[in-house]
Amino acid sequence: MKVTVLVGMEVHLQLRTQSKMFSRCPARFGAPPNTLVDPVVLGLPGALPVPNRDAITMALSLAMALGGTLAEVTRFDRKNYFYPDLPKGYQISQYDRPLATRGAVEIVTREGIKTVRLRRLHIEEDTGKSLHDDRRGLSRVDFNRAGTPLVEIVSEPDIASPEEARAYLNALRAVVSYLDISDANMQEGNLRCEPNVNLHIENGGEPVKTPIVEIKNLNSVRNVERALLCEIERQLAEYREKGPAVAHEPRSTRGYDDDKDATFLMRRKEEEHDYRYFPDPDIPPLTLTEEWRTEAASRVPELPAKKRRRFMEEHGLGAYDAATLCRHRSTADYFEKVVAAGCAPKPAANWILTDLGRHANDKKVLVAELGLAPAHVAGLIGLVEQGRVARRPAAQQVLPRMLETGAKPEAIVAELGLARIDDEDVIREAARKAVAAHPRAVADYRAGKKKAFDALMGFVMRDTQGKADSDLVRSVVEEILEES
Amino acid sequence: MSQLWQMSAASLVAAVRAREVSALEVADAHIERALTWNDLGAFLHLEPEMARRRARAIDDRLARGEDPGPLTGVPVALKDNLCTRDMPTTCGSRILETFVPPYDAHVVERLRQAGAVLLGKTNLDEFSMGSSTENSAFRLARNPHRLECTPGGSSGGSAAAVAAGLAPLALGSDTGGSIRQPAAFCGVVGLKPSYGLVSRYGLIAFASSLDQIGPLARGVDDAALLLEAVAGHDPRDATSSCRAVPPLRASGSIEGLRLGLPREFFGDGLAPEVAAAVERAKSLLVDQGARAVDVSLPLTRHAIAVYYIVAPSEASSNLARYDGVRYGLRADGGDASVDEMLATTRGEGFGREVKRRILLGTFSLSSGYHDAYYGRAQKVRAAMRREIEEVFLHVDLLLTPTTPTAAFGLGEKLEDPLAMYLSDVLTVSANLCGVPALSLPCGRTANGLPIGLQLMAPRFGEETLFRMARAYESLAPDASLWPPERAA
Repeated sequence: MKVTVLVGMEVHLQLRTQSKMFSRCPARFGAPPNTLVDPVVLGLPGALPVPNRDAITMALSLAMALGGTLAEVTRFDRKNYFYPDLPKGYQISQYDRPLATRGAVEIVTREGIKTVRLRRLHIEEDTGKSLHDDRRGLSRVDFNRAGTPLVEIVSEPDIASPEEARAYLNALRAVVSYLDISDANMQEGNLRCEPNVNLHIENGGEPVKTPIVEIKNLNSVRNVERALLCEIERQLAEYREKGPAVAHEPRSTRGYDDDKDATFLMRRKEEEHDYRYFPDPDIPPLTLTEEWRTEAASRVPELPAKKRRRFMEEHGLGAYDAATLCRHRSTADYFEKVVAAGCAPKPAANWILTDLGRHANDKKVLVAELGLAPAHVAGLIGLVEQGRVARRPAAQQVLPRMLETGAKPEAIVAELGLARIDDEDVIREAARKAVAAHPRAVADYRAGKKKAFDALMGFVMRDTQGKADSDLVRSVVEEILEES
Repeated sequence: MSQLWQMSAASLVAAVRAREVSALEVADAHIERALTWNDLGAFLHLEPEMARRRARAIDDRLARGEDPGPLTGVPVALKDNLCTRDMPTTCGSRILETFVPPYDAHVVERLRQAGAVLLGKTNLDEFSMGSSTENSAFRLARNPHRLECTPGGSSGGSAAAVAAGLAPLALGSDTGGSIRQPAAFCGVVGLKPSYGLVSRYGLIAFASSLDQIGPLARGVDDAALLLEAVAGHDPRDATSSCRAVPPLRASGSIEGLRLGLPREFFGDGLAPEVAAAVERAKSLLVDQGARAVDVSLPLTRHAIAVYYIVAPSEASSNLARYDGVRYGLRADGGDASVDEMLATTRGEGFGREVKRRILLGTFSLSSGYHDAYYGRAQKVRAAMRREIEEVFLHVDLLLTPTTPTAAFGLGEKLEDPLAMYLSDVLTVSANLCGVPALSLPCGRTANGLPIGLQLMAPRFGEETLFRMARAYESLAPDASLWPPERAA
């Protein structure tokens, strides 16, 4: 039985604009309920929407960055449905003349590089938020979020695994971070993602296509991955139970329950709204003029995919490391600064992705925000590369001290007395002591146990507080064992 | 000197500015008149105290040597679908019975800045849906010329108020004839401006692509005065035009102007008295050097069908916001679910005609019917625009009757919605095509009811429109029609 997984992604991205999509009301996260509202946002009688030019320029720059085909003339449409958090009884969105069509996102997984095609990119407005107080049987609505500009990015079902789905989201977030148009944070809800998934199962005869399921309620990249994993399992189980007949089941929308790690049915296709789309008569069609496109293009910097290829070619990095460095523009820039300060690219990438990355994660900041001067980092790596300080004390003692004090690595090495010991006499002295103190290990070594040699080396390193040159230690210990 | 309520807005401005009469006296005269004619049902909210306060403020500014603006001291009545932050704005509907907007419509701001004295809010068909003001949820409105007749609609209250001298000026709104038809029925001047000339910000929407706010007045110059005060670009309305408003009150010759007579507007159903009055008007203008040209607009026969798809479609969406969640009526009986609350609120809050149009519009936009109804109507509408643009290459203006008949009796068409819809047959084309159209009185029927003459111009051709209307007004001094006075 051959199973192909087909995942398409619908991503909603809140744009970080000063004001809302169709009014001058300020837009931001975390204000007291119903303070970021005006007649337009609340859908008061007589209020009219006026498109936010800045938001459209941001969306245009994103469409360009993703290689989309821009519309000559784009248009806003009304999507009609009733819900208490939808103030006008319709959402202003785009239907048959979206801002852009096609385009692609290049993703990098451990298996390699792959292109996910995009179907369309359009602009719409966000809804308010319903808050339910079940204890008192009350529902309240906060309209602060209502009218915030959203970009919806719809992919083709080119994503073939949960891991690729994660890579897709990371790649998309990287582009967004480079353009600096959104916080793209799933926890805060300014990036929301609804994957749709089905399976093509070949088991002799015609391939069976399981009905497409759209998954909602996902608030982290990790949950996207987990939800897809369990939904794929569920569809497989359904196929095993019902056989090819499963193909005739209707499409449906399922929610993801984080605690149970399972998806549950929300509604079937036939229960969906008829949205009665039609062009919004309050907003004339927009011509995307040459000047407007040029303005949007000027906002597009060197993008992660291109930067990644350059890092691979210029600096000889592997695809995965290059992609990880390029996920955040500031990290990629930081890497280049460390290299410019005289550091070799590969150790620079290695340090940024491992030791610096760990500190950044602990502090919930990006590497560039750690407050380490790139020249100091280059200096530290240089000391290690030149053999003047060993790797481990450099990472475990010097780096934390640099973070604390901002002092130069050379000064810290001196202050802590961590300069590497390459005085053969000192090492020989320590080695003799180790051999004398551990006759058992020496006997084991002579009996052919390789591990005993490592233990003896370890005793020497410990005695020199890890500062001894390990190559030198190795040859000296070998020499002494030969002698004795 | 004539009575204050008989004076034109322009002469009131002059008299108040010259301090021959105070703004307060002018306001009082109109308030008294409005109270005397209360049974006309012209006003939904008359605000005498507020109006007096505004008038005193105008007088104070004049005393300090300031100029309060081009409408200094002129009382103005507002159709009750224009948002006012200090008066209720009900749209003639139970669903907004208690609603006081937190903001002023653009035109209301402009009137306040121009020194106008806002008298109150006038009666209308609920959400402007109707042609007789009989769909108002609150009051029956009557035609001052004949109380058992309708003043027309939906701006029936505004037209009746101006006709009877309760206000020299009023604003209405026109989606398919809602200014021009009541102007014709009540014997006053009414203009539907070019789409985009007047900002719709704060006008409670019926059908957004058709709605325009416009003036009603007893004379052409007064209508122009009011239009000048409210027209012009407003960044809060994306459909508002950026072009400068030309001066509309300059007089000029009509010599050589070509008047097109579209034959489709003179067909079956046109009352002989109306046809004769329009013919007389045309002859008078031709005598003054205008040239009459026969033209044809064949797509006009589809106008009503297109209108009754486009307007209800947009309305079904525009009226979705009245859900009881944020403002206006909420009918929930305490522990209803959200869906029940919404359905009950709308069930109780909307009247029959509004529900009928929401259903029509919802149907026209539904999947499976969208292409056959809304989609096709949009195509025909685009073709109608091209057709009228083509005709305007050959003529400067179109001249037609405003309505097929004079005012009809109250209750006469209430049970026959199709007959009611057909009373818009000559006016909807201007809305569908976005062009300006003006109705002015051109005589009376044998039983004393006014007849309306309609002039249409290319989009933003208001200057020519007013020039022709002014020429006709000066040729036919009996054009202004006061209703019969009543015993005090």
